Amino acid sequence: MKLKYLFFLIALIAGGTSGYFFRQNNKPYRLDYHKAVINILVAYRNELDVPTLGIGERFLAEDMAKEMAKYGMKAKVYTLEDSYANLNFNEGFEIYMRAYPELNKGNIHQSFDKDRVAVLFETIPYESGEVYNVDMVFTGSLKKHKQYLKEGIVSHFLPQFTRFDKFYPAAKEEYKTKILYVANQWPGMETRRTIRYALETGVELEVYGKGWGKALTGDKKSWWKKKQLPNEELKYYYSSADIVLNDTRHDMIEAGFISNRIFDVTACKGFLISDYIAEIEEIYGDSIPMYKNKEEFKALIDYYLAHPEERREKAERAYQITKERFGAEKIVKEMVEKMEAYRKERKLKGVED
Amino acid sequence: MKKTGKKIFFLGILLLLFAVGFLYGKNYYQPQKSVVMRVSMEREKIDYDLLAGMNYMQYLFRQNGYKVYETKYPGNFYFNEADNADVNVFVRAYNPFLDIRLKKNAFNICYLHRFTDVHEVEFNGYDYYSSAQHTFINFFDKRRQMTYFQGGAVPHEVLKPNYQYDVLYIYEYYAPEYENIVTQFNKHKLYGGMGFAALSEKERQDELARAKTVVYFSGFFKGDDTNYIPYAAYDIISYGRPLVTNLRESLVQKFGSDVYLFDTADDLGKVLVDALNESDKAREQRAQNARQKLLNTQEKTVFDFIK
Repeated sequence: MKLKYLFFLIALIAGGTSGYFFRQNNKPYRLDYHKAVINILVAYRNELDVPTLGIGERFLAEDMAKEMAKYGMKAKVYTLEDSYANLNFNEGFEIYMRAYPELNKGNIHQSFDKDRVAVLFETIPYESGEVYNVDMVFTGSLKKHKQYLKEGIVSHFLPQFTRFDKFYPAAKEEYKTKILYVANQWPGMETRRTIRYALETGVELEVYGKGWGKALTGDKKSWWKKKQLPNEELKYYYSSADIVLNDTRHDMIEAGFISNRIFDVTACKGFLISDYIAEIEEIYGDSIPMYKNKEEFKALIDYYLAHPEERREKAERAYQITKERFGAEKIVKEMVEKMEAYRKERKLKGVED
Repeated sequence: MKKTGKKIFFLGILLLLFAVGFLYGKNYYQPQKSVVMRVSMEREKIDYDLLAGMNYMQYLFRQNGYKVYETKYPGNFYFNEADNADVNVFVRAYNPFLDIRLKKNAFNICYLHRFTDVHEVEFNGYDYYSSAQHTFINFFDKRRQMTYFQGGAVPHEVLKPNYQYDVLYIYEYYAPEYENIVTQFNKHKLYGGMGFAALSEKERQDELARAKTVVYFSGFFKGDDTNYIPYAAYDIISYGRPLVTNLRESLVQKFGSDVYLFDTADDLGKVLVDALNESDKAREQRAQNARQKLLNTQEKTVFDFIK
């Protein structure tokens, strides 16, 4: 009889001890390294919901999030406002991708714990203070990647990408244009090269984008067709145009970044003429003709307007290159793998550990 | 059959007792309750008022049997000992938090010290909200559990005077017209609130002891209660030092003439002259009176929802 009660007591004590140590091993603040936020920093949450917000990073972030999900990484797009909204997020990775403003150059880990991995996705040249600040960098510039490695920064070269389910050949008669230019003119900045050259050489364009009111006046006002193109319609425009024009900011050319537009247009089998960037030549060869001055600009446009077969042939070659190397699936898969490898190297324990 | 039945019954009782013990060990047994106080700014940027307020809050928690952990930027907010804390206080200072992780089954409290540029989106998800400013408490809608954090100070030992200055001037808000008055006194010492808070406790005590009068100028932030009494003022009173500070009706009600009060810069000059013309004994007596009034009336509980 007494033995029975002893067993009861042992069971009670064993249970109590187990419960106590179970609680001691409870780790409520561990992060989930299969989750990420992509912080574009540029807008407040209600601005992000405006469907025609013309910020490339927003679409890039959304595309990245969608692709990451295929590789087991649940990602959300965050804005500046979300950073300090108490959303109680336990994402292990915080990916920064900005247009403007610049990231705080103070230590990012000043305000969040080191177990959260700060990742920079560099699509335009960032200040060095921003780059030094984070745990790892994915950069779209091979030049900068080499420089970062020399400085001991955890860097990976990762070009931008396009989504083939969003950008694919989709020519439609009602979207046909002769010479298409899709870009925004930001206030206070020099007029973009394509518009300047077109105005100086008399090449007529069809322009879509914001901010062209001052540059396109008088009889040139008619060039400006719309302030905004819904993102889902871009493929029709790119596919249907005889020529799509691209130009790039000086700082991006200097730093060796290729704009996303190159990948999006070529994915639609659009024929592209661009300002000269050595990195484009390296990747695409002569399948994307490039100009170095306004004379070449006009000459290329005149020539290729008159040679549709050559346009088709070059567009096809550029398309194959983009398909092989710059699809979201391939790029994002590599990104997720590298992030996971970094986490393992740092031995960061997540919720599942 | 009967024996098998008895065995099963016996095992069932054992399992039940194990489960009861497990639940008790997991949820109830704890060697000591603990609280983690997280502050949304760097140590060197904390001003005297915030420091005194946090010290007071921590003192109350200790008095109520809690072990207290405190952490500030740079980030180390979710260290091992924090895992089992029963209470988490997020002190929203002058910067927002960027890495909030709330724990289920704990009290998660957001404490807003002074009214500053805040974003309403920050104030979601906590169990309770608290402030020493009624303006903040009134700012949010009634859906949030709001609670007022009372004024007070850690009960300090009285500092023995060791006069070296006539005036110690501590200012949270730079106002040259007030500073010009203070600097006209031969023996004076100036500190910004952050600079004073950055001193060690011993250094602060030494400085307070050296002054015949301690001027604490808090300034007014947009949105402050006009009757808010800074924790720094309470702290100086608790040390038994003669306090000279901005006029507030609440101070008059609490301390009467035992605290010297000024309004304009000219007022400050007059008040200081009057205070310094008093005998040291009379002035020190006022400070002791104020201290007694404070210690006799201040609350002993921390937050009423914490039992």
